[in-house]
Amino acid sequence: MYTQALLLLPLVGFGVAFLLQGTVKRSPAIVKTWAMLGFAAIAAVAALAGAEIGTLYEGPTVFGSVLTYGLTDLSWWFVLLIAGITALTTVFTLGSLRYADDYPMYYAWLFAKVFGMIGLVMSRDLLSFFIMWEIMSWATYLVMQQGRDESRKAAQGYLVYAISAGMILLGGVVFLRTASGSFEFAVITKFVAGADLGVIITAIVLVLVPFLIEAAVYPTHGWLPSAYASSETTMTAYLSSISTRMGLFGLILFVFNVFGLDVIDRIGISAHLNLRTLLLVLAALTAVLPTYTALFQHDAKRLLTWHSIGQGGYMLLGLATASTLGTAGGLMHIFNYMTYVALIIFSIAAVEYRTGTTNLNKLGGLITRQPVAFLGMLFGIIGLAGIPPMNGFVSKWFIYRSLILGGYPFVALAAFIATVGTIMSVYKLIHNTFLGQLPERYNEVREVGWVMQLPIWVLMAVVFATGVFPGTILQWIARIQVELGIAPIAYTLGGVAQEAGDLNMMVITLVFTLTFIVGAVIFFMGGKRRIVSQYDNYAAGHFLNKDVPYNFNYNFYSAFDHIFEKLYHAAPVQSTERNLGRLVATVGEYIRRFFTGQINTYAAYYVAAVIIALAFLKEVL
Amino acid sequence: MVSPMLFIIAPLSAAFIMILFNSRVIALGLSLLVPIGLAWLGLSWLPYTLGAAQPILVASIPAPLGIPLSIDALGAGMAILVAVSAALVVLYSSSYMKKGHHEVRYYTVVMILLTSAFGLVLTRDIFNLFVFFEILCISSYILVSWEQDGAALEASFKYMVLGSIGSTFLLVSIALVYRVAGSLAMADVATALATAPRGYVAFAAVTFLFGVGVEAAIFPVNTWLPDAHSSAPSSISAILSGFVIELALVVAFRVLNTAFAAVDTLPLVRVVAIAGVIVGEMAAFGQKDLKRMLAYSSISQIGIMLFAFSLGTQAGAQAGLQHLLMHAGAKSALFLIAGYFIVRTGSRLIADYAGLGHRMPVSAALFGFAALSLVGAPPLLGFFTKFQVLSAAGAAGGFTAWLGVAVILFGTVLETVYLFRVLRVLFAPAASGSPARADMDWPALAAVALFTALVVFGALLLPTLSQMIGPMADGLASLL
Repeated sequence: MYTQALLLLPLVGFGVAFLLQGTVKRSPAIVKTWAMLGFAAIAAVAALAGAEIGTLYEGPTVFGSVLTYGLTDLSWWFVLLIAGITALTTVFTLGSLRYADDYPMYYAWLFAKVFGMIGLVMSRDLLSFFIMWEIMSWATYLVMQQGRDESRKAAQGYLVYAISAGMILLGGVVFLRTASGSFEFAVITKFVAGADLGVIITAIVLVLVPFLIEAAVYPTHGWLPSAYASSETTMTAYLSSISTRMGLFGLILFVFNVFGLDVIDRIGISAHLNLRTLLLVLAALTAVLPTYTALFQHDAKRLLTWHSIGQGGYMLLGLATASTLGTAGGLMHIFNYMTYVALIIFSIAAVEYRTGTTNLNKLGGLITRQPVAFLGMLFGIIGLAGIPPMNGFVSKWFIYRSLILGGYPFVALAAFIATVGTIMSVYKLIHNTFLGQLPERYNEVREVGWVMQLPIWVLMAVVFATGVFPGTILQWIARIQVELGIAPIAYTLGGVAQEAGDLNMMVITLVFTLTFIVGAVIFFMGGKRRIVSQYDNYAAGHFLNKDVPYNFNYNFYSAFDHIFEKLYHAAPVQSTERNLGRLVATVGEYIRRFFTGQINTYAAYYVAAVIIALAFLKEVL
Repeated sequence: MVSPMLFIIAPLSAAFIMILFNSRVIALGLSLLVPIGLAWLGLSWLPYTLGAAQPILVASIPAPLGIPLSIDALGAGMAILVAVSAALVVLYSSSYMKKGHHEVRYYTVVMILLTSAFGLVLTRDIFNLFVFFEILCISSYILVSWEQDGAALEASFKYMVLGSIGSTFLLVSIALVYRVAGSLAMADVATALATAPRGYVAFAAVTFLFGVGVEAAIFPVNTWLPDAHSSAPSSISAILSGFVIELALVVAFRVLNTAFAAVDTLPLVRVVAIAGVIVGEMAAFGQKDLKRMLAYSSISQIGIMLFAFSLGTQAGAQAGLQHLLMHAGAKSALFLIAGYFIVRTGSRLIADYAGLGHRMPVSAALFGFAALSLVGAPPLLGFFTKFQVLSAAGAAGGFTAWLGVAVILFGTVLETVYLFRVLRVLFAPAASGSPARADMDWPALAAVALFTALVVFGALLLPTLSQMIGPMADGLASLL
């Protein structure tokens, strides 16, 4: 019953929100209330739905096969993540979403997207998986294209990738259906196990490539930054936190469940040069390159969208090791990243709500004006950088550990290098937003209202609590691992107990807290501090005043930028993408010239067509 | 039981009555009533045709002296499609066609076009087919040139020259066939050609394919289409793209597949179809003129249908027919909406439609739905039909079938990109303030909404439809 409700509620929500769009500008409260009720109901049902794991719900019959939906441990976990982050985002939008801008369909498209995502994770056969995948892609496009012309353009970029992914997947669906004779996952699993290598490779390429595109794995990540960064800011939070992970969901489902690890590992030259090695290398590139691109961004949202790609690389790193620790780290990182990236972007949205900008060259010093947003971002970036005691540390520790133990030292090195980049870029983020001098124009800025603070506080609590007590999350992960056929992780409340070194976050947090207390004691006992005006200061031998302000904010990391400028602008992916687009347009133009507009050439085509056709038919000869 | 001869008689007499009275109201009334009546007639015949084709005796003279006509499931189904589409387009025309612009003549020609369309699906005589084909072509030339401006006249002239070449090819084919068979009834032709020299049959088959193929917009003899479909009044573009080329395609393929069955032309047809898909999509990709873009898209969609037919399997034929139904609805809707975009802005260029979606929100939304169905977004009808084409191709197997799958998938990506580029322009932020709402007039809106409803909710009809699609698909391989 809950399973049906999970599919039905977003649909009803979509229908009503669609009909309510006319009322949006006059009385936004109506549609906001409806959305809040709807997403709260979905979250509640999602929480209860665990009782129905394993039961299947049969939908309509299409092409002679029944569309089936049902929950597994893996899909329930994803449903919970989707429902939870949607509800939190909606709470935030109650305060932040203004209809002065053009977002009349915001909630309608959001409901549609939730329908697609929940439907996707609950699909128990290939056809419904594909249908939901397409619905999700279209809903994502619709969600993105709202608002300014810039978002429309970026959404168009996404659409090209999404529809290409969808069509490759459709090719895969048709191929697997033709070869195995069924849409059912169980039949496909059996078929693949006994199939030729050529068939397996074709199926894997056709099915997995779309997931890599959706998960924005290097080199198919080009669509993500513009598409996410030009969306409405709460939507950026939403998209970054959960949307991209649907590609990873598909990857997990098909690699571990539908195809099976044995089949995947049959593809390769040797035990160490196989498909999983390729995935590891791609994941490492995904983790490193976008993270360093993030350094050069001057827009807070755009900076974080590059991390959405990079952190996805970490998740894939963990998952591709296929070890207990690695998959636990990968799965946990999905949750962790979702919580802290939403937290950071909500903080940015709170700043944007008051200042009207997310431009890192223009902000600064807001710590005294928006302390809650500052705290939110602080907690978030500690998580993102993978520093204890926040939850990001735990999953990253698992991933590093599994890479080293699994014998992938170079990949582990790449992961470390990426972490350095992460720390550098998040420092830029918090410094340029909250630290330094407060520009005069922001003197009147106030903290946002409690409705918008609420999700920030909740996420801060989650990021901290799951960092100190990772066992609360790991118990879910262990269940998923059993389902995926991996030995479950031996978790404790504070971390993990294993031969190759325990992790106990409670101890680490205690040490951290004590150190912090010692530092605080020295700081307060020293009696050396004196509170001065922000202009009573100097930098680089200059006194600072209103006319000569502290200007590190502007073009932060410019030296770094200068060194790597050429490398960055040579970014092969973007230019390849552009060239591909140009190629299609050029070839299209040449083909169009087939239609010359001249009757004499057209008449010649007739003759040519008949002659070529006759030659083709051979019977004439 | 009312005679199916009415399919030919009714529109033809309606055309004469219109001319006699020369009144807009009577012309409009008749051209609405006749298709609606014929749709009902088709529906009433459909159940009888599902079991077996029903031969029609013309003027009490049996074949070979009389003209053999026959209504089967395919004929009844296509007739219903044609009649319903025509009724909706006439409804649209009632508000779209400018008053005092020779309206009576317009409806007269539309009725004559309908006569030939119905005739084409009923006839089982290859020369009779030629006659109806000529009527169809000539009425199309007239309708394409309706606007009487330079572009329309040029398009019509090109269409006429190329159509005449096609007719000549067709006539050559008929002469060759008659020499061997001594009869023009398709059934006799099929028997006679089975024993004829294969090179001879192949030549006749190829000239037939590219002769009728002109009207069916088969690559590479479809070169007139982008000009004609884009220069015609939008209601006529909807008729031409919505059912005329589909109808010609079905008729051409059926005759080729049955009367000329002695030579296996399916591989040739398949190659031609795949080429059509890719050329159509690539050419549409860079278009800046909305109607021209839609016209190129029709070329590729015809390619998809022909590809499905050319698989030579029951599943392929069914998938092709379902895709045909979807395309008839979606492309008609798109052309009809484009017509009002042109009326409101006075331009065919997509760039001039910036922000038009705010002035015409309902029209633009319907455009979006029709476009979504055309590119095959689930759960709209287009997804199911395209999926069936692809799985039929997969089931048929072989290199060209999988090549076709790849080409169709790639084409879909292109199609999505260019259609949604239009939508992006339509919903671009309005330049100045909020302009007054100016959606389509209600008759036009009603017609477009019905077409769109078909392609949006059509998937719900599929279970019912599947009962008739099977016998219809059989019709593609049968001459009875």
